[in-house]
Amino acid sequence: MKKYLAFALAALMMLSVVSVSLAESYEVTEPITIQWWHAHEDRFNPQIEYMIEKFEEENPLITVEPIYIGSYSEINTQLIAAVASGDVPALCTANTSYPASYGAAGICEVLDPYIEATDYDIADFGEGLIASTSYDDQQICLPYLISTQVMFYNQDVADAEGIEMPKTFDEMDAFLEKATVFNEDGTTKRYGTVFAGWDYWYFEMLYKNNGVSVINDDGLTTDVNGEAAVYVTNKIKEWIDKGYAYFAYGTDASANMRQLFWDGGTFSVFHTSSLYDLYVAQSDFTVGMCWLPGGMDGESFKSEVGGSVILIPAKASQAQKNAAWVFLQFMTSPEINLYWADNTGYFTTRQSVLASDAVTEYLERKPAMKNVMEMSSWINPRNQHPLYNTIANLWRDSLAQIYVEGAPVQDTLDSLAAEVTEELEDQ
Amino acid sequence: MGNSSLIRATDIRQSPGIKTLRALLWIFGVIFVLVGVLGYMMGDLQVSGLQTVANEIYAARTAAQNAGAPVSGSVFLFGESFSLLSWDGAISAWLLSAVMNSAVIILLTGVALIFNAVMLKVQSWENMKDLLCVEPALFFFLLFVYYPVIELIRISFTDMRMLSDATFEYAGFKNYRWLFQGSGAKYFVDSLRITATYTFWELFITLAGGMLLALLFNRLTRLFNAMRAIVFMPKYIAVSTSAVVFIWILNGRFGILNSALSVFGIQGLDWLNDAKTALTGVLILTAWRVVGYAMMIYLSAMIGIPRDYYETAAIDGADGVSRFRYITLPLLAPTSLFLFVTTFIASMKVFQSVDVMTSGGPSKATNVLVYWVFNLSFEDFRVARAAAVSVIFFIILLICTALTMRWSSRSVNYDS
Repeated sequence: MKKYLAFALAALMMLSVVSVSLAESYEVTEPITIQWWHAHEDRFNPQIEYMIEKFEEENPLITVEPIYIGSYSEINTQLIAAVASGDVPALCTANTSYPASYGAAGICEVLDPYIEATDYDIADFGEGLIASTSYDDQQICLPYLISTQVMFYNQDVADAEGIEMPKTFDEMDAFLEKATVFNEDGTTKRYGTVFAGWDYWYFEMLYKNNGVSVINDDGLTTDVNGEAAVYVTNKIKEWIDKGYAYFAYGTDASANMRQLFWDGGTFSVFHTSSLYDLYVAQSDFTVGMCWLPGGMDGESFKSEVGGSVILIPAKASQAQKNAAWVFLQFMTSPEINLYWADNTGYFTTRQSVLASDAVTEYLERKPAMKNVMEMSSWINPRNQHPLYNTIANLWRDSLAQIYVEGAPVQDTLDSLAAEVTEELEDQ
Repeated sequence: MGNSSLIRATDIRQSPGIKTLRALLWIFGVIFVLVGVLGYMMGDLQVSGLQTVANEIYAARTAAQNAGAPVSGSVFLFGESFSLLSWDGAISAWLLSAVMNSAVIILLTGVALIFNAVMLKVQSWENMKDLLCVEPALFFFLLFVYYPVIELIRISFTDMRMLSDATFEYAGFKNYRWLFQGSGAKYFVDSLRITATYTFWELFITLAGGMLLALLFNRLTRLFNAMRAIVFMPKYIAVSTSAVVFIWILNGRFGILNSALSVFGIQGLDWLNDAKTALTGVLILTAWRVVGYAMMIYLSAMIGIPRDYYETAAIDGADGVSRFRYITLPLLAPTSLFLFVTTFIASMKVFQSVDVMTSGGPSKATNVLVYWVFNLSFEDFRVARAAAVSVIFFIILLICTALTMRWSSRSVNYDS
């Protein structure tokens, strides 16, 4: 017995020595300044300052220099250039559409050893978000500010006119008929909804929940001209032609769509949950927020993760990476997670936060968030194919030709499918 | 006098000092060229036989980067079994890394040294002094103008991706096949058409609008000075800034242009979100920016036309239109040519206004060539395809400019 006990003790000590040495290899032992590239506009400066002050108080060896780069697209451009030159920031936020490409190219530091060494509770994010920030079964970044596709609607009008939000694609017909108001001359006075079309992410779940794959699981074929895709496209085109909806497309489409909603020109819009605060602040009516309609089967309610992730570029020095990891842990901690969510309109991503009193108070202030957060287990990772972004943009442009310019549905989708197949074959 | 200077020059070239210098230039030149070629083959060309060494250098760089220290250690250049006069072929990894990084500079330096060695033999000392003054500029020109063009051509024959530029393979004419026969063909034709349309209208606005305004503002009074300054002012404002303002001016629902049109009972357009009008929207900004500049250039040329010509023509009974047709217009031809060539090249490369105002859309209606190249690189990460498009674009620009210059040398009158 004594022998086993001694053996167990020795093994335990050995294990602790290994863990301690592992943790030590990621420790910050000297003062260091790290750059954090982000996409937060000036209005978030007070929150950023608050968080960095708090972090630097807790970690006096690390100084964080936050740098606003611009939109996610601009961050992508700058990050690629930085990686090419080897002069990278210690930490960088990126849109959720990029991790797969970055992972395939080895741009991100693999975080698994850091997670293991510091006992970081990665499981607290839930499976969907972990998968969204992984590539090839390796954790390459962490969920940062997460959102999903939603419909915003005028709650006051819905209550007054008895309009029910559609739960499935089949219910869209009745919903749009009821929510749309026409002028006497037949033109649309109030749209039932507006499909945000400048980014495929906003509307792609209408297709995916109905079984359409832009890139099939084999990674070589596409379903964009299949039966289901043609059906959904024809349906949306029918709604647009009838004046129930329009496809917001172009540079200022987002601003126009929002203004139209605030002016009462549309009953609802397809957009992102991250803009909840903005919609509420600018509206003189109660804003409702609901999940996108599910598939025709009445069971598919999937949505996709949006917003941003946070990553450490692999080309940073180890000292920079160590400091970045400390800051990354802080930025994704439950406390900061809720603070950010409350101040930006993004989701709380930590499951441990959901049960806290703070969230109860938060949901009392933002009741519309409850509808969406209750279904947060349906949030899925985005397609991890490295060419997905390129191909989905081609898809978006073809759909815009159909919806905005009246191009023929089947021919346009067939031509698109041929192009997508060519792209997939030439990877 | 001429003969004596030639003899002096010949003497200097035959002097032992110059002979030694020439020999040194040859020796160092050859060494630099060899080292540069080695670095270029390991780094940029990724020649397969040298990849083991190159990979060791990359590994040493990564280790140094992680440690935040300079590259250290050594690399066996000819394999571990190599031995020559007790030298095992080991070379400092730091040195090889530096050679790989600066291969082109080393190579060009070597070429410059050899060039000078040859020139020292065939040129007079006086000419050599002139040559040495020009060489630094020539060196930078080769490094920053011609080397990128050569690299562009090289990359267009690879399968290089923006996110994985460290590894690539040579793919022959694959990217050109994609461009001319594959899915790239329709985008290329569309892009070229859009770029040509944009260029045509910018040229028209610049030449016709600029000349019209110059005729209008050709009065040397204070009031006209002030008005000229106002017309020229947009040129001072950054394209990106004015583009953001024009997005709002041209907004289909809330823009002031449509509001102004509605006062006259004209139905407004969704300028930037409609494929039929988006390019016109971009051209409105262009016109606002370029016309004042063209006016100033034309004005300065007009002031240089002697008044005697007009006075003589007036005495001969020529009216205003005739004086413009037979005096002003021909004498402005060199200025028009200058504006034509500079505007042509600039407008073919339009990017910023398109990027800010339309992002190439809607439905790729404003997808000009440079914006397409940018998208291929930074959105699709297909840098090799982008390089192929750029090479073809470069050739098109070159041909157009050469044809213009050839035509102008026959047709433009430089007399004043």
